[in-house]
Amino acid sequence: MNRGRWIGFILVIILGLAAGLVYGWVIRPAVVSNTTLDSLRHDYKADYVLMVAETYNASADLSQAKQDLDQIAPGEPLKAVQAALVSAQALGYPNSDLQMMAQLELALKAANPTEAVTP
Amino acid sequence: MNEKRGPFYLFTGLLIGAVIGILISRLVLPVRYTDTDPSTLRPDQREIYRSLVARAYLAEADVNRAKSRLNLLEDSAMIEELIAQAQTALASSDQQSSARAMALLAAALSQTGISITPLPGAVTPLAVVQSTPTSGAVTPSATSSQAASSPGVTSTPANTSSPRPTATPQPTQGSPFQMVSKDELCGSSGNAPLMQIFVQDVQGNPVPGVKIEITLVNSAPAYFYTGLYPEINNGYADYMMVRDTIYSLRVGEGGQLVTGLQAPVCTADGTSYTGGLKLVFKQP
Repeated sequence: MNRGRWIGFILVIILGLAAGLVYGWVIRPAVVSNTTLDSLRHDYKADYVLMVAETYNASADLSQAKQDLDQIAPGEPLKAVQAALVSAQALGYPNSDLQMMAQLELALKAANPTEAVTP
Repeated sequence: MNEKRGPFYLFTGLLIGAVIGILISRLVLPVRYTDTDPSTLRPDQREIYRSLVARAYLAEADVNRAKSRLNLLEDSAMIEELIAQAQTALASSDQQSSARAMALLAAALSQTGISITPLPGAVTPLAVVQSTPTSGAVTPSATSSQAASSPGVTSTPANTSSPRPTATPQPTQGSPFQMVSKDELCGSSGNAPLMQIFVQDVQGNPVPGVKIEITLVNSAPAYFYTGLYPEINNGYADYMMVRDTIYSLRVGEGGQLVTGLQAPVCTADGTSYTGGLKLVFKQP
């Protein structure tokens, strides 16, 4: 192929790519579905952690609480609670709710002190 | 010679561009969702969320809060989904408490006036042991400690560990149960079409732990027990009915087989809806 044809060839590749992106992003954007709990927005995660704290407060079952927290922060239950506490305070959760979440945080720290100091 | 090939190479270019676009979107930079809301969760994750809402309801007994949380899932039939999941969980031995929580929440949502007592706190407040500042410690621990010791928080006495009420199936003694009454329930179109079963002994006392066998036409029998709703009645059990389906029911081992049970069709304001049944079984 001569130079002109090569340029045309590359241009239509770019055109095809652009057309695909316009179709996917503008004409028929992807519908968000089949997501997982770890992708929830921070305020929903805060409420999720509050639910875990409520059940933990009633049952004292830390293992179950960890299992529940694992859904929103795999392997990092303490970080999930700490992040949720920050969100909850920013969102103006009542003190009783904050206290329950803090209770859960303290229990997690007590159960795994090394995680509490790991940056 | 090349000048005689025509413009088809342009289509080839378009095709290559599209393939590259698909490869990028699928393999190199696949879509990764963030900041989603619960309504977009995939089915298994919805079940986890629903179960947690119910368990939190059991702990806090706040039906409005539970309803608000369930609303986030945007289920078209919230109560039915809850009951269906409860019935599925009942079949699993390690999900009995979740099943009970979901069944109880479904009952509270479908029937006004049902309230439960919040479970007593089982957690003894911990002493704040992380007070020593650590260079690598994350900020939230300080804020949470503040929250825990906030002067606005009411001082709560240390709670002692209290076992949660559990429904323990018990063998039924005495004569076989017989149905003594059958009433159609057409309370409200918003109510779930439940088959409500009340089991009583010869003195009329509710009997928990009685095995109930329910059979649909051309399907294997399903089993459930009374006593899973102590807040309603110790001898109470219910089953979600489907319109135009005929059920057979046997309460207890060797009890009377009741056939031809069907959800009634109720009418209100010119619209029809599926009602429920209230069945009372008693030992003669």
